[in-house]
Amino acid sequence: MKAPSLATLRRGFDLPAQAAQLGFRCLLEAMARPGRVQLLPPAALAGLESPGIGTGLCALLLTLLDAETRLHVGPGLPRDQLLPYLRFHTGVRVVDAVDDAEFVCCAAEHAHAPLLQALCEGSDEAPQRGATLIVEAPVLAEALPQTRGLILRGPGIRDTQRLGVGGINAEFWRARAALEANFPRGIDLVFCCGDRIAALPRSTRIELEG
Amino acid sequence: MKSFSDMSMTMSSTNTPNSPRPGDHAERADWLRVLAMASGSELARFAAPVLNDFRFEWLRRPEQGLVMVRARIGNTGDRFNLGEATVTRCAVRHHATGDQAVVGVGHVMGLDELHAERVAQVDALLQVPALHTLLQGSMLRELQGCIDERQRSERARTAESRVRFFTLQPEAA
Repeated sequence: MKAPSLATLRRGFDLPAQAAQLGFRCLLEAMARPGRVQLLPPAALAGLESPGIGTGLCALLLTLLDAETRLHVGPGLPRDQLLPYLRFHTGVRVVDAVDDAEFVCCAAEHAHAPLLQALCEGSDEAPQRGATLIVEAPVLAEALPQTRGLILRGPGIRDTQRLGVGGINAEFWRARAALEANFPRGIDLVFCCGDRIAALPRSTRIELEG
Repeated sequence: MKSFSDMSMTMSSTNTPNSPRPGDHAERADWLRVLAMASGSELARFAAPVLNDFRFEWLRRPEQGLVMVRARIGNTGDRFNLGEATVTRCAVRHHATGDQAVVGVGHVMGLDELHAERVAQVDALLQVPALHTLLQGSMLRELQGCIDERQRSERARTAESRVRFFTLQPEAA
C-alpha cells in the first residue's frame, strides 16, 4: 500500500489530553451502566476531523489507542483513510489477525457471529486480555420502535435495561449470549452512533425481545 | 516521559547531507536538517518575522518524548544502543492559496517546543512553490551560515587541545 500523503491527513483532537479524558470518562460511565446511552460532550469532540467514520467512534479510538495497543479494523469501515489517521495520531499497531487484537472496530451490518467468536476472550488467569469490540451502528437508542431490542440484566442495572442497536442480526446476539457462560472470559462491546455511545460489558446478560 | 516507539534514530559518523534519496525527499531532508540543527534563537531571528504573516493549524501539538539513539561499533560493526535522547516533535498544516494544503513536520533534539513548532511551520511553507525560492535564499542560507560558523568555532576550540599520538616517540626499551 502506498503511503498516503500527510497533506490529506485529517485533524485529531484539538486538546488531546483533555478530550481523551472526557471521552474516557464517558466510556467509564457507559461501561458502569450497561445499555444506557451516553452523550459524548462537545469538548470531547472538539477539533475532530473524522476520517469517514462517526465522530463518536473516532473520538473513542483516539482515546483508547496508543503505541502499546493492537487494533484490527473489521469490514465496513474506510480502512484506507482510517489506518494512516490512527497510526499518525495514536501510533497504534494494526494487526491482520482478529484474535491478536485488543481492540476491534467494525460497522454494525458487518458485525456477524463469526467475527465475535474469533475475538480473543482472554484466559481465566488473565481475563483482562479479552478484546473490546467497538461497533458503529446506524441507530442506537434505549428503546427502538419496530426493532427487536435487547433486555439487559446484570451488574450496573437495577432491574432490567433495554437497548436497541440498529443493523445487528439476531445470530450475533445469540453468539454474544453464548459467551456469558465463559465469564470472567469474554468480549466487551461498545456501540457508537454519532456522538452517542452505549456499552455492553461481558458481565451483562442479554435476552432478545419478543 | 513517553517513548516515541514509532521513531528510530541511527547515528553515523559519515555525515553525508547529500546522500541520494529517492525523489524530492533528499531536498526536504536537507532543509529539515538545517532547520533542526539551527539553534532556537537563530530560528527566532530569521524565521519568526516571516512566520507571523501566515496561519497554521495543529495536526499534532508539540510533544516531548524519548528516542533510542543507535550507533554502530566503528561505524560499520554491530549496532548498539548509545542511549536515549529527548526529542520534541509536532506537525502543522497550512492552507496555501488555491485551497492547497501542505503539512510541515518538526523534529528537534531537546525539549524546545517553540523550536519544533517553527521547524514545522517553515517546512510547510518551503513546500509551497511560490514561497520556496524566497525562503531558500533568505532563510535557509542564513541558517546554514550560522551552523557552519558554530561548527567552525567549535572545531577551532577543540583543535587547541589536540594530541597527535603518532608523533610521540616510543620510550627506548
